Amino acid sequence: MSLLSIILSISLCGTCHPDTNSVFQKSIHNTEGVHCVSCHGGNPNTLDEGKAHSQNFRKIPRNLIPQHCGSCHSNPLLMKPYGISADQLSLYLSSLHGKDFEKSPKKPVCTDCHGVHEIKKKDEPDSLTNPSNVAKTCGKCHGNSLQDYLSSYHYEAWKEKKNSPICVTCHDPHLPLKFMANDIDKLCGRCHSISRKSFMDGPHGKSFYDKGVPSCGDCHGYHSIKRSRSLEISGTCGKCHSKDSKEFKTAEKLSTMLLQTKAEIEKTEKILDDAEKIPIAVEDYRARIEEAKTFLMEALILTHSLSIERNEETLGKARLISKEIEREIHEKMRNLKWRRFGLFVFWFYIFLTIFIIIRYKRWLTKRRSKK
Amino acid sequence: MSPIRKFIKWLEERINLTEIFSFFSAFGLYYGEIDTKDSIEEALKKASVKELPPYGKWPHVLGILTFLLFVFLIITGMLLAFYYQPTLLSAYESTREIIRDISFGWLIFNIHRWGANLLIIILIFRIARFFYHKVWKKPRELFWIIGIAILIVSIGSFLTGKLLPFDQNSYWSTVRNLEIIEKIPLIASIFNFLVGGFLIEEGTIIRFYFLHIVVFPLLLWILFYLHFSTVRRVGLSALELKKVERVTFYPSHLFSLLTSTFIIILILVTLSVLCPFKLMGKADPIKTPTETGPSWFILFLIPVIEHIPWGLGGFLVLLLLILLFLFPFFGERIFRSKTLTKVLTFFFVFLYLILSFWGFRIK
Repeated sequence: MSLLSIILSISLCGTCHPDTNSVFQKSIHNTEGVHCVSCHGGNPNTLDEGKAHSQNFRKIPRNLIPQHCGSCHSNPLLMKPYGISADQLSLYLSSLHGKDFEKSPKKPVCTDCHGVHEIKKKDEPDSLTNPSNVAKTCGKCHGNSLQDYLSSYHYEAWKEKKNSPICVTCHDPHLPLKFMANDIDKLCGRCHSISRKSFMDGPHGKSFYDKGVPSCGDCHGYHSIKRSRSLEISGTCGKCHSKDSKEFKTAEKLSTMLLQTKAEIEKTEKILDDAEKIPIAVEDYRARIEEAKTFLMEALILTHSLSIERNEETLGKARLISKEIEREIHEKMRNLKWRRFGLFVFWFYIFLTIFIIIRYKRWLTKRRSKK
Repeated sequence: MSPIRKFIKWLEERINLTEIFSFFSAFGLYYGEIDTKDSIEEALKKASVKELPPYGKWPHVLGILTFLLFVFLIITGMLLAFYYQPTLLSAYESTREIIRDISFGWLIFNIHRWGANLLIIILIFRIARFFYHKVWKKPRELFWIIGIAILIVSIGSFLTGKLLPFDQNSYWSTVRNLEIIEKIPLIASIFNFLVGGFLIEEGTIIRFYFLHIVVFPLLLWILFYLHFSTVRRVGLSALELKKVERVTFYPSHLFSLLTSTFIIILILVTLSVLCPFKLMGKADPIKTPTETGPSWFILFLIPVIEHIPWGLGGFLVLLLLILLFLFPFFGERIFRSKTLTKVLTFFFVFLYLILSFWGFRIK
């Protein structure tokens, strides 16, 4: 490449559009060699406005944005090296966003979610499509859903572990269909497969299969999904079952069983904490209490089957482990009481020695004074 | 001749036992000079009949008690050093191993910690008593100065040892201690020079360990020697005792010493069994526990340092420390009245307690 061609290849667009240029410089398009002229045409090697905005120069109107982006992103040859599928445009056009866009160009297009000049790879922290920013990006239009999501356990867990569901986990924006109400068990079951199986085994599952109710969202909520442990029986089960009904009483019993076992495990954990400070070796017990917690978690999942017998069997295992640990720790603590017994024996000997010293000294003093 | 006498004679032909007795007497075992040319039997006979000042008798043996505690700390410290590993990764685990898995490790560990606390209590009490009894007047200036130095070095030893278990309590307590030290000029510079900063990292723990097991014990050993040396030269005659008894090394002084040794052992073992120190989990620089604060005896510095503006609190503490050292040279001019000295002693003790309580509330 000659020096002249290098000089000529330098884009001068940024001289008149510094703000846009500074944003574009950090974008993935700039990194991968897509420059201003690739989308806007024109002549980038001159500072003369007339000449720069000649040579097929174009502004891209909103209604042409999907087609314009698709000109590259539908090309398998261009997309293959980056591992990006080339069906993005067709998927978009068949999606709810795309169908709405056909009715009105005000509806979401590519740039609304991915940005315009600032488009970045989704693993960059300030990318609009980075998992940490997705909720905010979707929330620009879906404000109410965003508020619900921010109050949900999914978001709470996301903040902690960064591997919990975000908007696009359930609602892929490029997918053509809205989820059907009676498919929700499959959607939730993608992550909560055992819960789904348990749900389908129980009376609720049968009813859902026949009538479409109750679905996961009826008890847990949709975007504002709550943890089952924070659900109140009266507020959740009471929506469909009266308080005197057999079903409501079953729910109450299940809830009591779970809460009692949870309290027992917490009590054992506290005993372990106290024992560790003494310190007593508790590493093995910590592993066993985790096992008890796993049984509790299993029982929580089994609650979807609404079977008291199955729950009792699993919770029984958790309680048994918890009690065994408590018994063993108390035994070890009892052994420590021997130290106190040893202390009394020690006191006895020390006092006896001091007594003998004092008596002997008095005897010596008396003997000396007599002399 | 009894077998014991025979053995002593055999030993004496090979080693100067009187010199060894003389060495121990340098640390408060016996008040007076010993002629090392005498045989041990003769030296002991002379020592046993020599009349001592009345304070050689119980309970005026606080000085020897501090030395006894120091000896206990040395012995227990050596035993702990067999298993302790001064690294960030193993400090907590090795301490836990000592307390949990090693036979009687818990007892040795607790005696060491309670011993250190008791040593500081007795040293503070001694200083207050010296002030009360005016044991700083000419010719006892050096006695007072060395007494203060022993307290300061013991505090240094306590603070460096505090970090070593490396549990949450010791870590965060040390962090707070360092925050206080950082604000006292000169002391902060000396600390910075020795340890290389106020952040706790790999180097800090090993430097603290070295200071704790080598530098401070050696300094204390020398200071104790000098302290007792001044006592042998100038005595403690400032004490006023109502009943003057005839006191000899044997049996009065020796028996007081034995009784106090047994009482100290009793106190240390009792505290270790009934109130053992608990480990608070491995030190975590991200998680600050709410219940830890600076060591109890420097709590009084918190209000002084944090509530006096423009960093003047630190200067004030340094000034007080310098005045404390130089006190014998100007004290006589100010504290002429005995009553005033006694009243002021109680006032200072009360002020110390009030400031400590305030510091405890805001720690």
